[in-house]
Amino acid sequence: MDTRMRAFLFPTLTPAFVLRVLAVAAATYLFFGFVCTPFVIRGKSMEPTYRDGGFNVLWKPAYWFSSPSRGDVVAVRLAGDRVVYLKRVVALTGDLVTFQDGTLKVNGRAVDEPYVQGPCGWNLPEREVEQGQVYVVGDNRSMPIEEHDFGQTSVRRVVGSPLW
Amino acid sequence: MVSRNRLFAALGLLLLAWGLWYFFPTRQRQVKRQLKAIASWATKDPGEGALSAVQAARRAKEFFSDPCSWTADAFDLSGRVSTEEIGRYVFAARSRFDSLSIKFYDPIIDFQGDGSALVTATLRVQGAQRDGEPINETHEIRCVMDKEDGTWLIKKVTVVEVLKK
Repeated sequence: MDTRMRAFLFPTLTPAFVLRVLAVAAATYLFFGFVCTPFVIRGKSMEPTYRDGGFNVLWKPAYWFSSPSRGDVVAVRLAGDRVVYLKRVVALTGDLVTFQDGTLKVNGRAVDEPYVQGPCGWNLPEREVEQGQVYVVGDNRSMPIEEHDFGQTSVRRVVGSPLW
Repeated sequence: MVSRNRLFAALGLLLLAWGLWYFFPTRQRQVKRQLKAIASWATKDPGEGALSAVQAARRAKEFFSDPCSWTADAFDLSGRVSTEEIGRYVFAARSRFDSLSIKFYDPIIDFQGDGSALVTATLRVQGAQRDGEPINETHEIRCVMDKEDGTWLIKKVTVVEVLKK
């Protein structure tokens, strides 16, 4: 075997080498743990935009210096961020939200939602989004409303958005 | 080049550290181990027999204090249940499901002044009912756990409403 190939496959355990390995491991851990976290989608609440079993990457700096806007797809953490809800922001603080025969209305005006496909017959009385909260809903409105987890949540629970 | 003796010494120290960490767990690790035990107890594999279901139901007192109170504002439910009632609910649930997987994620454990542990965690329930209907539920829960006779038992459970319709 070539000397260089041998050195590459079986490196000498010098202190410099060990330090390099530790530095790469630490950088990888920090990057994929706190900046760009891969995740698998479980559930159908965001279909057809994001399919059950799909792969994506959570971009955590998305809202470090800004707040979510209407239409953004966001990750909402629960106790931590190993398991998150993936939902779309439809209304912000102070907005009035309602569903009437499947149509989302914000502040009295019907919202154009090209990402929603399939029939929807949801009805939900009007409610105001409280201070410091955003209203999030999944794109799959064909599910019965009782089975779909959606609603207002604290902005502080929004931990990022999918990279694509 | 790192000498062989130093490498063995380092490995030995790592082994010692691991042994101390594993055999002398902190309170945090004791609570996490108990959560893992609860998840394992509540999980049902396909093809589980009636005897296993009865045995599982009887073990409720290993994980819950008597009585245990619970609150789920999102579902407008609350109450206090004895370990015997929990056992009955567990048996009924196991009869309804063909398979059930329970997991806790991201447990945050805070110890209170009275020695109890306030645990916040994400609970994931997945499985299939006997009629084939799948179940996939995710909730944030808050538990108060007390140490009784060396075992951490759940005294109170609250289901946190993360998304308020």
